Amino acid sequence: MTAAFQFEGVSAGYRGRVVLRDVDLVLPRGGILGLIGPNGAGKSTVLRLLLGLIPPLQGRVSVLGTSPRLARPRIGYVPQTLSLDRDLPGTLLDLVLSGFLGLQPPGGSPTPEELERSRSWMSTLGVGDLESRKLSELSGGQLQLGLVARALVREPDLLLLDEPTANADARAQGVVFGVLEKCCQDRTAVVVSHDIGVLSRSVGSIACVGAGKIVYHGSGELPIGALEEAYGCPVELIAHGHPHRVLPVHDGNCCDHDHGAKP
Amino acid sequence: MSLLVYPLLAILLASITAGIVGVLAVSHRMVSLGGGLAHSAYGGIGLAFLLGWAPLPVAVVFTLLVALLMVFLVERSPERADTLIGVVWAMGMAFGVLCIDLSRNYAGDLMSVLFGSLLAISRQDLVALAVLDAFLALGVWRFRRELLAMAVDPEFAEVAGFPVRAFRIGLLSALSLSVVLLMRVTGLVLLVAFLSIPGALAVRWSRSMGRAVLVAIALSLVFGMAGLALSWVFDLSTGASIIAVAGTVYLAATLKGAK
Repeated sequence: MTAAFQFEGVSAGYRGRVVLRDVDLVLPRGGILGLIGPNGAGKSTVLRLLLGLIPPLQGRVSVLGTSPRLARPRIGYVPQTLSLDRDLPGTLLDLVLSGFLGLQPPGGSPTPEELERSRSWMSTLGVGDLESRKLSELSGGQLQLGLVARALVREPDLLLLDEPTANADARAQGVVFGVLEKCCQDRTAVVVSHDIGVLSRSVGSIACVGAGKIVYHGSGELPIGALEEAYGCPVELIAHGHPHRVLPVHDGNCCDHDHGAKP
Repeated sequence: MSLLVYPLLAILLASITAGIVGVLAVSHRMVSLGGGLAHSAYGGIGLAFLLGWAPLPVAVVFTLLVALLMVFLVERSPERADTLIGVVWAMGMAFGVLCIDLSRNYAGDLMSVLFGSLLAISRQDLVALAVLDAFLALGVWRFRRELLAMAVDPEFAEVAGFPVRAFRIGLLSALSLSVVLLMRVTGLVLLVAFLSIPGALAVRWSRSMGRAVLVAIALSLVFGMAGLALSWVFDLSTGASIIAVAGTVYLAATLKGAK
């Protein structure tokens, strides 16, 4: 079986500024990859390459065995809620139904099957009773669940999620990752997040992006050295069982947890 | 009273145009682009006078070409969109003025182009508006889901494999045709307000794209009739009267919403 995606010697950037340098990365199909790293490290650039929104400056990106553009109908994408215009005359159901965009010829009303699948995912994600709410009447967390539903109605082989739980409370975070775990027995998800605590509960593997390269990719315990290389400063990985949190090094007098993994 | 039949029909048809295109322009953030196209249309009118050709077809073709030029430029520097629109806006107007300066044929009334000439509307203008309205209504009804999805999240629409670029060019073409035909009713200076105010209010007050279009048409009609009545009774400029009514309602609604 082909990989979910493959980067071969990929460099990428914007307006002459190189963000990723000579990256090699292969993700097998199935399971959830957590993509972490500091601001500006290149996490969103990885997503934009996978979506075919930017071409690599050099190297090759393949998604589901083909080019990113050709793979688009098989990709489900959850952007950050900030990118949306919420002050428009549309409801949550309209938003979720827009997940079928590009899968059918344009025009016409939603089919009964599209309506049923949309309502089913909204119900699974706990926002089924909000379908007729205007987008401007939804909370950030509710909107984010709607965006996840919009991606899932496409029944994609690859899900790309950019900070999918940034505005969600603990319950909604649990719902999103619970659904992802169920879905990703036979499909693949890439979740970009700053919150290692949330990721460490649910993802099968983690890739850490820093200073333009993948400094770690694996499924074992996240090495402190990789985090320090990615974040460019000494860090402390604090384990309370789960979740894990990355903090700058501190002296331990400010809190009462066990500093088991001090560098 | 028969003097009022054509103006009344013009307001009805222009209300439908402005209602549909206004909702599209507001929801796709193309209001300033519409203003730029309206002023570019003046370049087309100037060119027509210079060449001694009929103004309407020349203005339509000229404005469509300017719209495509804007798409080309904005796609290459999206972050400079407002500057580019401003430059094209001014250049279109300047080009029209220069053409008229050089023209020996110009005998028209500049004020009617700038502020509209509702009372001088022709049967041909009405037919053109009616045909445009029919196409706009059919297009918006057929593609209402896609138009909303593209407005809410254009990046997702593109990633989903939807032909965003083709739709954007279609939208701009509809906007170009609309501004040229609406100019006879409102004049180009006031056109931006007629395109944006009913659309902005309708988008704010509606839960669906279809309903927003109907509300915008109704608002345009009310503003148009009220403006016509004011201009008839007090012998005022019709286009300016329509916009005065619309602007007052918009400000009142905005102030009420801000409370």
